[in-house]
Amino acid sequence: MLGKQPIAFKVGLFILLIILLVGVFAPILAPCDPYQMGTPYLRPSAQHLLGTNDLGQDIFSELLYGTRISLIIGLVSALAVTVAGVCIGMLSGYLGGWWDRALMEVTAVAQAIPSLPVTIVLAAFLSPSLWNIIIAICITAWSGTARIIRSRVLQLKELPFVKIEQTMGASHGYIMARHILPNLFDIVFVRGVLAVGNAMLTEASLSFLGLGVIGQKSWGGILHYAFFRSGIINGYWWWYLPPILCISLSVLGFLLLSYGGQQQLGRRN
Amino acid sequence: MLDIEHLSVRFGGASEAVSDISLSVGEKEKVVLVGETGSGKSVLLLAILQMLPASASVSGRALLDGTDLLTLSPREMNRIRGQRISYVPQGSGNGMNPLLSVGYQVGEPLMIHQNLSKKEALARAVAALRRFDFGQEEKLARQYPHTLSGGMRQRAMIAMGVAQGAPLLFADEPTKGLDGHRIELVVDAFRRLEDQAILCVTHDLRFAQEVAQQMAVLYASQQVEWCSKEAFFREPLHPYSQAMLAALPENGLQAETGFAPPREDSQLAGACRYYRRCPWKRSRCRENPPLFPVGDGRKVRCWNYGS
Amino acid sequence: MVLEAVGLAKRYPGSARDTVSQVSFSIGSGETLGLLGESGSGKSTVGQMVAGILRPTAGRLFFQGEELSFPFRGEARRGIQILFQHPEVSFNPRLRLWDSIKEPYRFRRIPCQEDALVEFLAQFGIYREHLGRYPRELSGGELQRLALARVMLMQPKLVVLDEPTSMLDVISQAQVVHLLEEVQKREGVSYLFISHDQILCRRFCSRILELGGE
Repeated sequence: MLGKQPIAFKVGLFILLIILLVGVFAPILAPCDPYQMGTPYLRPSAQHLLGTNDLGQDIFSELLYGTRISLIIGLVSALAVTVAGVCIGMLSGYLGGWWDRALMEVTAVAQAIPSLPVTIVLAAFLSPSLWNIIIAICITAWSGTARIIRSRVLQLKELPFVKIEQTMGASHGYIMARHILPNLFDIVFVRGVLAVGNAMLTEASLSFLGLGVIGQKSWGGILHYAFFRSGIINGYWWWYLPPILCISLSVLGFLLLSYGGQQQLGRRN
Repeated sequence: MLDIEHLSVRFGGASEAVSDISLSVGEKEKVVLVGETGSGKSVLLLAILQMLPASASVSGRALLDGTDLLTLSPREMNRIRGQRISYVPQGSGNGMNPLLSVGYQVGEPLMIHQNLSKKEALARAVAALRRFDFGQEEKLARQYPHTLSGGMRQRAMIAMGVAQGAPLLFADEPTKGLDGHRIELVVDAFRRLEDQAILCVTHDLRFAQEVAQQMAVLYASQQVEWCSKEAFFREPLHPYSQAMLAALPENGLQAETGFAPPREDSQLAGACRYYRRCPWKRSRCRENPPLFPVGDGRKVRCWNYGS
Repeated sequence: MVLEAVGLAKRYPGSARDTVSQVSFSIGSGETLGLLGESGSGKSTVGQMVAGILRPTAGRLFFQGEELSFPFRGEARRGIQILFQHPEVSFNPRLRLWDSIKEPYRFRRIPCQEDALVEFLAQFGIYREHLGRYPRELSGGELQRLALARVMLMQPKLVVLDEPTSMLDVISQAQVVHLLEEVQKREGVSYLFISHDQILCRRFCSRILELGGE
């Protein structure tokens, strides 16, 4: 089955599989405890592949552990964003009338608000726990998906097979769950995968600003310290370059997966 | 003028989308290909125009005044399209660009192929529209496609096809999605093309009866009959042609009843493609017949007419 | 009298004029009323109002003597069904046809006995081999016969036929028309047959109502 997928899909899947494995097996793969302090500002060596940071923690191990928090926040946020976007878009498009007007007003507001500043303000005011970060990321991110889902549902609703269900006396809930939702799969997949990449990027931005989850290693967090503890000024590339590459690579992985999936689904329809 | 000899098209490793088609279009002759949806009609036109995706492999010959179109380079073919052959795609006029005026679109090929100025091209476009008696052609030329009805758009598409005076017109399902009066408009447009040869594919027998001189019948990607229109409607030879005519409402809506289950029968792999539905089937028919000539230039793919 | 329509009218939101207005007719039991008109005459709009898909702007509908209100409920909802012009989109493309054809049992809250269902479908020229497939794998004629079978599983009193053969080739058209006639003879169902084909209408309908053009 995988043989027929577009090359972009396969490459994306390959990248993400590696990142996932690294995240899961970080404690086994990491040569040191990333919280263990030692000699600070060491250059890369056989013992510390990427040197140590200002507290003498092994940067390579930090990087491996950082995969976990990025992935968890990315996946959970994307799930929440997609579920919210699909529900709101589907209710709005299918029920129409008063429901549609109310839900679309809310969506318009969510879309009009500049998302990164709001997320930053929220993250700054809420205590910096994992769940609060996820809430801050999700608060406006669902609106795009909701709009796209709604316009597809408006088309689907006019198709004979949906009208026939109505004349046979099917309930709204049944029609939405069994006949509308399965036909949204391609959008849900493409948008959902993109949302993971976006959420990971937002998380990295927050952590870079020092608003990340306290006491947890993350890629953005490594960058934060590299920046504020003179890593960048001194040109310690082994400190700031690897987290940038990791973020870029995983976002690229999700982009490729989404793009490849779109191609594949487009070909099938 | 156009001679198609044993033309077949295959996509990748799949079975043939068009199989062994031979027909000819003379100067100013109107040829109509009829067949049900999925019989490969549209693929044939696109194959001759070299407009199929790269995965398609085309065999056979398509001679236009002696030149085999299938061997031409894309650049040479580009010159043929538009200057020698014009093409009206399927879709009740949705083939027009919604952002450009009707006059501009009708005149555009003239600007490209004959280097006319915009003004000259527009004048020629209005002249082309006038041939179809739209009424108020100057106003029409300034209008945009969405302000026209489906039948009017289809007529405008035909005008677009003939504006540069290509001697051969290809039309793909020109009446699809149109009804009653709108079909009459398209028929009328075709009737005005006395100087053009036409190769038109359709599933609409009544339309074929109005415009055709020669008819080709397709069944399951294969040509099963080739004859004059009069012969087809007076005395169709192939059992499928007979079944189609009998099924017309005006002929009493007769149709075979009892539907066979869609079972794959490996024994029928090389058989006549009409075998399962044929009322005349016999053991000979387990081999696919060639197109037999039966006199007067007629050809039929059926063992009843040759051996 | 199965259905009576009195002064039906429909104006779409944002439109300046009625798409249809003052349409009145009645359909007797086991009868076929033809609704003849060209595209733009609003004949499909009338069909969808009768089938309870569109809410009429004005006018009244009576089903077996009782006035209908939108949305239809109960007996009337089950008793009026519709067959559309495009069989290829009359089934959920993501479901195997088995799953689509069983739905009427669900809505009528009766258990589905597969063998009886298969036997019933054979009258429509549909076999087990068809049912394991997806809609895109069947021809237009096959899908339209299956769509008719699904409609008849609801045991309706009236079926709105919205140009059910205009997208089919001539042979499939003739087959579907014969099937419609057979079903009517067997089940005594009434039809509202919407078409633009005068000859077909005259051949198939007991009475014809012509709708004005644009």
